[in-house]
Amino acid sequence: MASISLRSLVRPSLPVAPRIQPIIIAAFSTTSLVSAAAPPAIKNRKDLPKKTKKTYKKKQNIVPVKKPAPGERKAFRKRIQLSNNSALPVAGLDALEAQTMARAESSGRMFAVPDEVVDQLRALEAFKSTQTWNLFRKPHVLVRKETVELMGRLEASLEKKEAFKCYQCQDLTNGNTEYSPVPDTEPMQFTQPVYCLKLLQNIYKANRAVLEKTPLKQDWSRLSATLKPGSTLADLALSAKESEFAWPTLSALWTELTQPGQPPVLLTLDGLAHINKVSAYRDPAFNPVHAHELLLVRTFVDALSGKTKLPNGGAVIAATSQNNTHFHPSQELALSQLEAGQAGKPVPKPDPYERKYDDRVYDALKNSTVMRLEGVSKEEARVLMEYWGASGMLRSVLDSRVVAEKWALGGHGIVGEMERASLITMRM
Amino acid sequence: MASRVNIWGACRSLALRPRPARIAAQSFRSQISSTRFYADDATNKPSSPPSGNSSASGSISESRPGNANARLTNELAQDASAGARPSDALDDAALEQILYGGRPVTSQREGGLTEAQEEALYREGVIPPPEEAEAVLARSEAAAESQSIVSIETDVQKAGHKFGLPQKPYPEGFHVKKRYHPVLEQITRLLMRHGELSVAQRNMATVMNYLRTAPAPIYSPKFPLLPGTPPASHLPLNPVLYITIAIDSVAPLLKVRNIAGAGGGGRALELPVPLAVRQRRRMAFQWILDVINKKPSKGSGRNQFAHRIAEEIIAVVEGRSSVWEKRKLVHKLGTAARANVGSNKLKAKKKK
Repeated sequence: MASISLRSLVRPSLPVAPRIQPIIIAAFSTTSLVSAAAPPAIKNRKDLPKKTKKTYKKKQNIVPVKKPAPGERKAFRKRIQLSNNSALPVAGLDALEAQTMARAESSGRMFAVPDEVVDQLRALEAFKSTQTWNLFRKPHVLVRKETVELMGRLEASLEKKEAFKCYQCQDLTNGNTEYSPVPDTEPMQFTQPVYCLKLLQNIYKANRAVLEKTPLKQDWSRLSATLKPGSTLADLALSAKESEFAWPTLSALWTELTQPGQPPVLLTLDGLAHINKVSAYRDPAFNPVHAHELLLVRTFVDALSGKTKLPNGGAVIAATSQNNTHFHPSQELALSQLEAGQAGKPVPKPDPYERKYDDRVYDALKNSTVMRLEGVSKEEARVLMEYWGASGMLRSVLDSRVVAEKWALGGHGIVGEMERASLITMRM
Repeated sequence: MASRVNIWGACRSLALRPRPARIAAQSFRSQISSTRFYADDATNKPSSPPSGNSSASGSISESRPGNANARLTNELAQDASAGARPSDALDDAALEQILYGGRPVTSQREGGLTEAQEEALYREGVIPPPEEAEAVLARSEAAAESQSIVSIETDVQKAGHKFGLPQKPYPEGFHVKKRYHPVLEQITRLLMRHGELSVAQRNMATVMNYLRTAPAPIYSPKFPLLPGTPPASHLPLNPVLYITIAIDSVAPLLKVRNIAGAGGGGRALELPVPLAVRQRRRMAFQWILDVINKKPSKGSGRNQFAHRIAEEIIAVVEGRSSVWEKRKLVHKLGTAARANVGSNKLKAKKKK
């Protein structure tokens, strides 16, 4: 009985299919001792096993250096310096005033940019790190013939200036900033909350004086509890503390500015071709998003096309260039037609074989005025180079031959290229 | 006896009287040659009369007294040799003072360097007084003019060119290979990596712009710069001068050449050899590059190399750089090895 119970505890020997079991032909074996290579015979002292030389790893004296935080070095590289105390101050140049740039006699002259304007422009990120502001004592600008022409057009509506600035529009459409869909829109529209928040802060920094004086016309208490009926535009701009509320606040600010009785508005944008293309963003169905479906871009485009009226006056200026751009057939067509119309020449017809025309872009641009900018003229180049010489940055003799040479080397008066040819070079 | 000695002593002084006239002749000759040779004095002053003259005068004075006392002639010979090689008469302390120390930090004058002085600095590595620099420049211009006249005449004779030959002196930037400043040209080639000359030129331009935007350096009295250096406020706006001052100030005056087997007992003989201007600049800039290559970059981007160079140049001018130590070492070694200059073993080695 006990043996049966013990046997029940033993693992049962079930019959197993013979082919699963490994087929053992021979028993375990090793190679014979004879076939292994014999160790070398020791004949003299040289054959004795040597001690391997120990290599002590050299201790590197590691100096505890505080490493820069992520992004700190790039920020240092991209920093914008607007003064150079080694440069000579240039005497005899007037400061830029409200009406200076519109006057015909100030064409072709250098003007000092006042400090408060410098602060405003810095807040709007108007200075670039690739420009040579860091060589001169103080920012100065050359007023060109075209500047006077443009400012003459703006003069009527520019009493108190308000500036929006979308710096480098490619940032808006190349997918580098966050985006979020607006619910219940067809086709789906998108906002760019982080960019909007930054833009709001920049607008506040640059236009603080005007915004603090302008009261709100509508009730925006649904956006923030701090907005009372008597509060100003500055309060509205400051009410957005987080990026979720940035776009509603920005659109509220825009609505306020387009109410009658508010100050005139100047909207500027660089890189027009970038906001006319199909952006790098995708909708939830993974279809590409047209840049005009981005609400920030659409606000600008509506203002540019005249869809949004500016009852207080103002201007919308968009700039494009031959560099950092791409070919957009509708934009090219619209601009060439406008230019021909302004010059009284025959208006070019659309190409019947072109498939990539975009009516939205054409409609946005067709009501505008085109102004073509070339490089500076030789006279203006001379004024500019005289300023460089007076600052002590141009050491060579300045005569008409040198001016013509640098003007030609700089692509017929492109200022950045002229700087490269005469300031940022080994021959100075 | 003693009175006789005194008389002959007076004779000796008489015999030496024509010296000033000779010195004038010497200075005239030295003015003609604008280049400065190794053996010339660093200050470009008329060099002391050559040993041949003084030894001749010595022999004359020796022959006159006939069999005069040996002590006197001995003295005389010493005098003559002292006149021949002033460096032998200097003790170590004085030589050290000359080589690295005790020099005036800056020039006493208020303004910067004249154009002629700058030219002389770039050409010869020393800053002469303005009048002398002007004179040298005027002479070189005159020489160039006379050359150009000759060339024009020959042009007239060989009138076979379709468009004629360009007239000398050529305008600035005329010669494609002499487009850049000579000092910059040399340095740029030294900092070139992988044979990328245009990158090196861009780096050089970045260095100069860094120096132009940096605040003026603060001179250190411990490490005196080239004598006659302009005030610090003049340097940032003239980056070429800035770089030249920095490099010429730390440049070694000599190097120690080891002559194998000449030292006796299988040792090498250490022989100090003077360096020419370009050699000195090369050595100084190599030292600077050595320091730079060991330094970590502070920022990011492609301008870091240039920024490190510029920072080191500022450090040299302000006396913070370790390059000064290297210069001191080389000069110390040279001072110690100067006894080997006229060594017999060297001659024996040459004979073999």
